[in-house]
Amino acid sequence: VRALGVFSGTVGAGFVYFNFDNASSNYSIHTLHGDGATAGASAAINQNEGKFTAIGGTTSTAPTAMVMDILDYADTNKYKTTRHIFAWDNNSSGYIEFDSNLWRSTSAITSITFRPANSFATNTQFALYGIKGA
Amino acid sequence: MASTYTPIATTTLGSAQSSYTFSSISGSYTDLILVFNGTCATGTTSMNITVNSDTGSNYSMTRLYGSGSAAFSERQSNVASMIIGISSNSQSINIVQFQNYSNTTTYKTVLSRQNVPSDSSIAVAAAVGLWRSTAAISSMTITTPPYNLQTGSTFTLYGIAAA
Repeated sequence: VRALGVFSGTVGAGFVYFNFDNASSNYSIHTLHGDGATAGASAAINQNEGKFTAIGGTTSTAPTAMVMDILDYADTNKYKTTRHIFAWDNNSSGYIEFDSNLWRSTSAITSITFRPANSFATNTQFALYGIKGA
Repeated sequence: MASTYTPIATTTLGSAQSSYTFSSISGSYTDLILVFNGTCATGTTSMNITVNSDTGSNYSMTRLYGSGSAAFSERQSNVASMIIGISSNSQSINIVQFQNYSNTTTYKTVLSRQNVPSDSSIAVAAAVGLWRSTAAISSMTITTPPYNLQTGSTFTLYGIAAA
């Protein structure tokens, strides 16, 4: 998934969940992040949703860019792991983060939902691509 | 079957030079991906990009960086190029994604992944760059100041089309 997000209001965290599973504490998250001054890392387990963004660009002058890989999405023998990078810069400040999400389900992924803390604004753009094996 | 990455142009330098430019970039894709695999003349330095020949102070950058022993974050504002990569006299790889590069509504946000995998100067980083312009990107120039790009350095530009 590749996204270029413009958000309305206070951005806060943004969440992602699969197959409409967003109430069963089936997600865990690990992050590595930098704000231009310090680098840090964090983790959260047994979450109802995964994470796809944090504080971010709020206008068309600082959109948040994100690229997420969802590996082996249709495999029914594995829990699903995603890895993604999201970041924004507005010239005065910036933020960049590497994340991984684990969804503890062996179900094939048939839907992906992105939920911002408030709402996506006009010009937010999502694209979903498939990569085939050889 | 439709291809996701469409090669637009590839160049391998036959001689050292101070910059390389992709020009007349079509606006018919959704994103651009620049892959730089190469070296600069001396030491380790940044890989910088200017777009549309804009050398004004219209760029900024935030970077997350690992040296093999520690992690750092740094940023720059109001600079004359997007400092979006790493270059070294051993080898470096930079992959830079320009999202929605041809839209004329938003400023341009760029994501990059960077690494220098040599034995003596290990670095891995990711960065976000901003070009404060709503103009569509039609050219980009890559430099590794103050050093020349070296012979054998390879630049490839891909376009990704929307579904």
